[in-house]
Amino acid sequence: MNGRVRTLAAMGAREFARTPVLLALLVVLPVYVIGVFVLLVDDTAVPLTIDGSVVNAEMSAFAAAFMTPVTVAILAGIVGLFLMQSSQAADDRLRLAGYRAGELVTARFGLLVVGTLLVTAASLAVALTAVTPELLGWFVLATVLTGLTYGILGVVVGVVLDRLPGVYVMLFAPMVDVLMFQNPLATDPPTWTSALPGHYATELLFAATFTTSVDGTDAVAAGGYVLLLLVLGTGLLYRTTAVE
Amino acid sequence: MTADRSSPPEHSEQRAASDIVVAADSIAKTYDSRLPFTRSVEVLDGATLEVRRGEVVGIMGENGSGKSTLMQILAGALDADAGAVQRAGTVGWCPQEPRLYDRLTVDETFRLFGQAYGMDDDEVREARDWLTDVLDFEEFADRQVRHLSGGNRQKLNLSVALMHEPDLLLLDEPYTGFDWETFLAFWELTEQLRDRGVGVAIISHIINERDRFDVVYELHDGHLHRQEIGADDEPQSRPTEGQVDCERTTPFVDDDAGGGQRATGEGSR
Repeated sequence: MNGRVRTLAAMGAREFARTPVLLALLVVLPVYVIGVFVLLVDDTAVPLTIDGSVVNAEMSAFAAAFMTPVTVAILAGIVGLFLMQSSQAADDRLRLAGYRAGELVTARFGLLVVGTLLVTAASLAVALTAVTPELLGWFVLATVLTGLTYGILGVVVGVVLDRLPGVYVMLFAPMVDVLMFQNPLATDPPTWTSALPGHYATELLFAATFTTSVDGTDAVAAGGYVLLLLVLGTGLLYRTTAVE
Repeated sequence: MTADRSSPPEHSEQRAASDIVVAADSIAKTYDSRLPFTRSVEVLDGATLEVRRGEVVGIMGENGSGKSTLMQILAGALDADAGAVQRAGTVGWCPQEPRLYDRLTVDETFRLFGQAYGMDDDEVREARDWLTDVLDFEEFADRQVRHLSGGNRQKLNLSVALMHEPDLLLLDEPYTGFDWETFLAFWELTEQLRDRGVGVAIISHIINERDRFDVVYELHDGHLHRQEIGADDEPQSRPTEGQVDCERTTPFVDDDAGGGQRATGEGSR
């Protein structure tokens, strides 16, 4: 990372740190969504369908594990969206002033990764008080991959939509994808739901939480999804920062 | 001898060509809508202009005539549908809406854009001290852009365009929100830049400023109409180098705007 990218990333981090509403959201939303859900559910066992097998789990543990990717996806998506929306016009000017597109893209995605890690850390801090995953490392990895997937989607949505419709999309998309279609309480989800962005990361997450082994292809596919979106997002960012 | 006689005009032409810091030739731009049942808006249609070193050029036209679009194309921030833009040297662009990072301070903004221009720390510090002194906003160095008043934000917007001492300055209504003292300081600065050989293009609405320009282009129906500012200050109606047909423009005073605006004699977009 050269000095110009470091400067740009550092300035971006300062902007991020000076957005108290967003920072508060990163703390409050995990507590609210994960914590309240855990408190509200009955302490009974529920049957979960994970990789085709049925596993019984405590409802509170299931709620914590289930709401973690939902929360991370929503928050990372909003971070990506705001990152894009708040800097796009100024980035154009900075590009004209002499910053190269590659430097801008690197700095912006670097900041997105930091934001996603923050969101993940905040959500895990709450979730791990209610659930002890069988395979913690894989659980953390799955959460990060979910965050990166939706964080980059937030950037993409931020390029093509204005702020208000963008926020709606980034609220509804994780709800529809992760909350509805990746729900392990559902025994027979439609085949096409496996093409949704959150599918492989949440499969990995549930296997890591409630079983003692994970399917490596889920991790590879989730990582592949992130890479694919990264290529798409990078292409879009290059295009939006293109100057003569 | 023949060769000798023909040399001066050639040299003169070469020198004149080398003096041009930006030349736009037959620029066309239409904003297409992505949505169905909405119309496209043709903004520029064969606009041609040039700015030379040490020349202060005004670009005028009524609201929505495409001045800012033209400026963005000249700066390289927007692609033209047709035509060509050639620039020589470094460019400083001051957009109408300050494109700055709201949550960075004035100092941080100077540092970041200084980095973009390839300036070292000392050069950035010198430029910051010079511009904040001339435009009188030194006391806001630690204030975030979003907490600046409109006028001070505009001072920073202008400073970012000026800080690397470019060969060409493209200013889109640069003094919006300036108080009178700063307005005068701006024009004093512009005179200094002219003397240093900087080419300056300014979008302006204020008719009383016409005397400050060497050349004024009026944008009307997508075409530019060049007017040399002479002793009688009569608007000359003649096409720009793209030889587009044009109509004679007439000055008028807009009562609502408190006077000082100028627009074309016929309705246009």
